[in-house]
Amino acid sequence: MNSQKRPTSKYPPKGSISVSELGAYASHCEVQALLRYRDGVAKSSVTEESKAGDRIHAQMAAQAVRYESARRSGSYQGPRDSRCYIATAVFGASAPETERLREWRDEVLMPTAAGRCLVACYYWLSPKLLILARPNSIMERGVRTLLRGFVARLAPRSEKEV
Amino acid sequence: MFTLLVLLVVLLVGCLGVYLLLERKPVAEKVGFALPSSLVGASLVLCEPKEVWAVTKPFPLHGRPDEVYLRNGVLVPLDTKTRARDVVYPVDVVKLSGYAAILRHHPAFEGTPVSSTGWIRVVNRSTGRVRHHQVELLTDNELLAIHRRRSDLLSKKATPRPATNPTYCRGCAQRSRCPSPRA
Repeated sequence: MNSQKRPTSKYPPKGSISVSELGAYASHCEVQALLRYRDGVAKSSVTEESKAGDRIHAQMAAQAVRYESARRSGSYQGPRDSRCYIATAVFGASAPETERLREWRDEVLMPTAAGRCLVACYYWLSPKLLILARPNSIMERGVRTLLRGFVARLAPRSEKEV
Repeated sequence: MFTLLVLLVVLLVGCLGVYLLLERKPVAEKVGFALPSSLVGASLVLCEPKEVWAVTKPFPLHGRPDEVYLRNGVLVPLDTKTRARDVVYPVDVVKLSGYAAILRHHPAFEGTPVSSTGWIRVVNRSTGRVRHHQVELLTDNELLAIHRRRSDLLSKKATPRPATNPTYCRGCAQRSRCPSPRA
């Protein structure tokens, strides 16, 4: 980024429309967008929900800055836990399916105590079950088909490379 | 004896339930920083800037992008939403596309390509669960079409389309001023 050309003003130029206003005209209701932005000023009330949103935004921003300083200093280790025994054995350590299953573990299971308990049980059990997924065996093909179906149900989106 | 056993099981299940409920950390603590796997290792070039980023192309537009990452020499915008449900609305895509247009046309990023896709991070308001959605961004022409529609509505050359779903009207903050509420 060319820092010399970075903007300095905290106020928008006259005649310019905000990204939020533009988005409002693509929302469910154009009447609402007109009522909200007719005078060029957003009329919105500060609710508990919007306050919570602001708090989470501030938190995310602080964490993003911490991520960047850790990345620059070389201390960022990437995702903490790359274990995913069965998926790694079936698809490979860096396969998109394995990545998606890791994301599902971190985003869905890990935030709850029950999920963490399930993950701990899986880590205890899965090395013992790897025998079932010997390369090119019928079991391995069966497990791969099952996991592919599960991953497809997990995410309609695909991890596209930029 | 059997009744006692049933009571004991119920008590145990109850204790487990209470433990799991108490074990759930407050949302603020639970919201961990997460990046989509394809952005891990990317550098953060912009994060909640205080100043307004404004451009004159494709039309006068301004905004403050939440986060912008540089990955393999390409700028990728990311916007955070706090919601009760894990859902991405068309308005989110338009806003993210607006930020991408600002990055494309701002002199500070001259010569740096902008990705045709961006990321919406949805944080669940009550559980703190974070999900990332990759979305296709709109082009300048598509944004211009929305801008033209806005101009037509403001100059009363076009009639505004009301919401088709009455449920949407029930939760609308502008309902008291709306000339055609559906519910």
